[in-house]
Amino acid sequence: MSVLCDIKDVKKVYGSGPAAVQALRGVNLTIDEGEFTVISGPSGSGKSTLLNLVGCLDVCDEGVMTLLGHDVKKLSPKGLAQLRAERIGFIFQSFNLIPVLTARENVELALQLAGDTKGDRVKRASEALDRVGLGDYLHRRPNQLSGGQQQRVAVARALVKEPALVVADEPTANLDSNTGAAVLDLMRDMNKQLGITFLFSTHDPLIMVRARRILLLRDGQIEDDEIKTRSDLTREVERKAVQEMLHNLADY
Amino acid sequence: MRLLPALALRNALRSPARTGLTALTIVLGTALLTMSTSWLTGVFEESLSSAAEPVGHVRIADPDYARREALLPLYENIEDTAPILAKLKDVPGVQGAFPRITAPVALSAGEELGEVRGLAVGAPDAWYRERLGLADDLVEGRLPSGPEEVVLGATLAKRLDVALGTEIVVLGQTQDGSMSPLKAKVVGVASGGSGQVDLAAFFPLDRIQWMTDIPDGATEILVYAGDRDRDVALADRLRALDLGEVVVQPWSQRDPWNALLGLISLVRNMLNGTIVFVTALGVWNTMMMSVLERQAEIGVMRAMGLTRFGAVALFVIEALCIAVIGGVVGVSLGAMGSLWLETHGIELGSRVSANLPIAVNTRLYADFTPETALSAFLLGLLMAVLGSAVPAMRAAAIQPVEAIRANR
Ligand SMILES: Nc1ncnc2c1ncn2[C@@H]1O[C@H](COP(=O)(O)OP(=O)(O)O)[C@@H](O)[C@H]1O
Ligand SMILES: [Mg+2]
Repeated sequence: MSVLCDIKDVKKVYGSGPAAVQALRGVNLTIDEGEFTVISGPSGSGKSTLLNLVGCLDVCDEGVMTLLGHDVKKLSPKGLAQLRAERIGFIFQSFNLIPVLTARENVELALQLAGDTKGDRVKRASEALDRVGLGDYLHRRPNQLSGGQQQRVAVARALVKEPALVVADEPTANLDSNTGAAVLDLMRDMNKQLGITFLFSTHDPLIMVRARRILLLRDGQIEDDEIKTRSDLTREVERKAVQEMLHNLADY
Repeated sequence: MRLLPALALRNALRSPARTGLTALTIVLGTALLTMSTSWLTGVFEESLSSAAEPVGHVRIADPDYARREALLPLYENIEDTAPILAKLKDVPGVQGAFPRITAPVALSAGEELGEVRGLAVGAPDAWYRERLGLADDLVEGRLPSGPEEVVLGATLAKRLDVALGTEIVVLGQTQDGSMSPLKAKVVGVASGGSGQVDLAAFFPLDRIQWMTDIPDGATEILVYAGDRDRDVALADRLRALDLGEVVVQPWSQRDPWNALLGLISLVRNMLNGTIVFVTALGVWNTMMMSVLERQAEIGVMRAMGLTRFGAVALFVIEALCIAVIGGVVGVSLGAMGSLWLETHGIELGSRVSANLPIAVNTRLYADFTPETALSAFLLGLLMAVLGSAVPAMRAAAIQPVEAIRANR
C-alpha cells in the first residue's frame, strides 16, 4: 500500500512572544492510502491543528509534510488551494452546509468549486446523496433536515468529487451518540467501498472504537499509535453486538 | 459557475429585513438622484438656453475682436460678411447665421445732451425674433420696421424718461473713431430681466452699419446649431471651411460660459457624488453584517475551492440584485416627483433670481428626461458595487481555518 501522507517532525506555533502557543511539538506520522484513522486526545491537544495541516488548510512552521506526492511547503497558495479543492474532502463539526441551497445543490456546489467537469454534475450529486441514504431528500434545504441527515449531506458533499482523502474534524460532536455512530458507520462503508482515506478526530470513545487506527495526541505530540489487530476487531464486533442487544432490550 | 449567481440571488432573499434596508437605501438614493438631476436640468437648461441664444451657439469674429472683446473694438471687424454667410448656408447642422454689431453709445432725448450710456445693437429682424426673443420681451410697442426706428431696453427708457413715439439722439462712433450721431423714434420698450436686454437699444442692422461705417460687414457672425449642445461639433465643422482671417468659437468654450458650465457640472457631480457615497455607506453597512454573519460558510466554500474572485463576486452580485429592484423603484418614485415638479415648479422668489448673474425664471421647473432616469439607475448600480466592494473583499480575505474555528 502506498503512502498518502508523510509527516516528519512537524511543529506549529500560534501567536508569538509570551502569548505563543505550541500547538504541535514535533509530530511524526505516516498515513497509507485507504486508512480509516482517528485522532483522539483531550481538548486543546492539537487535533484540529494537525487535521488542518493534513487538509492543506494551514501550513506548518517547521518540519516536512508530503501529501499525495507533493512537498506541501513548496506549493504556492494557489497550488495548495487547487490540491485541496481537487483531492481533499472536508466534513466539519457544525455541518456547515449552505443554508440557501438544497441538499443536492450543496453537493453539486462541491463539484463546481473543485472545477470538476466530469459527467453530469446534477446526476453525480444525486447519486452521492443516494449512496448516503438521502435519495428522497434531494430538494430539502438544510433546515428541513435533522442533524444526522445534514451531516450525511456533508459526507456526500465531501465524497462526490472522489477525493483521495477526507478530513473530518469532530464530525459527530454535534450529534447524539446513536446518530454519530451511524454517520461513522456510513463513513466507514464509504472508506471500504471507495477506498478513500479517512482521517478524523473525536474524543468520544464510542466513536473511537470504530476506527482501524487510533492516534492519541497529548500536548501537541503523538503519545500512542494503535493499529488494531484482527483479534481487536473481533473483540470490538462482539462488544458492539452486546451493546446493540442491550440497547434493544432497553427499547423493549 | 452556474450555482454562484443563484446562490447570490438566494442570499439576497435570505434576510428580508436586511435586504429591505439595503433596497430602501438604494431606493432613496436613486429617487434623490433622479429628482435632483431633473431639477438641475430644468433650472439650468432654461437659463443656459437664455444665455446661449443671444450670443450664438458658435461665433465667428476677427481674432483681435475676440481677444479684446470687452472694449468692443469696431475697427477689428469682418469687412464683408456676405461670402462667409454664403458658405455657411451649405453646412449641415447650421440652422441660421446672423451678422451683428454691438457699439457703445450715449443717448439723449429732446434738448438735453446725452448722459445716458448704453449699447446699440444692430442685427437682422429675424435674429431679434427667433433668437433674442425680443418680441416676447416687449413691454409695449413693436419691433423696428424702418431705418429710423428703435426698441429701447426698459432701463434705458426709464433713464431717458421717454415714451413711445419720442425721438431720441444716439451718439456713436465710426470704426475710425469719428463721432457719428443718428436719430431714431422709440417704437417699443423691452424688458428681459437682465442687462443684456434692458441696457441696449435695438436697431435694424443697416442703421448701425451706417453709424459705424462698416457698410457690408459686422463685428460678429452668430451661428446656430439645432441644439446648443452641438456647438463644439459645429465649430469644428466650420473651422474646416476656408473662412479667412477669423476665429470660430463654440459657445461653451467662451468666457464666462465655460466657467459657468464648469461650475454647473461641478455642482452636479458633487451632488451626485455625495448621494452615491452616502448610499454606498448604507449598502456597506448592511452588506458587512451579511459577510460577518456568513463567515463560516464562506470559509467552507473557500476550503472547497471558492476563489477570492468568486467570494467577491458572490457579494457584489447579491448587492447588484438588490440594486436592480431598488433602482427600478427609486427611479420610478423619482420620476413621479420630477414630473410633479415639471408641471408645478417651485417658487424661488424674485429676490433670489435678481441676484443671479444669468436670467433665471422666478418659478423653477424640473425637466425629467429618459437620460436622467437611466443615469440614476446606473448610479444606483454603482452605489451597490461601491458599497459592497469592501465587505466583498473582506469576505475574500476570510481564511477557512479561522472561519470554521470561530463557528464552533
Ligand atoms: N488560531 C489560534 N490562535 C491561537 N491559539 C490557537 C489557535 N488555534 C488553536 N490554538 C491553540 O492551540 C492548541 C491546540 O488547539 P487545537 O488544535 O484546536 O486542539 P483540539 O482540536 O485538540 O482541541 C490549543 O491550546 C488552542 O488553544
Ligand atoms: Mg478541535
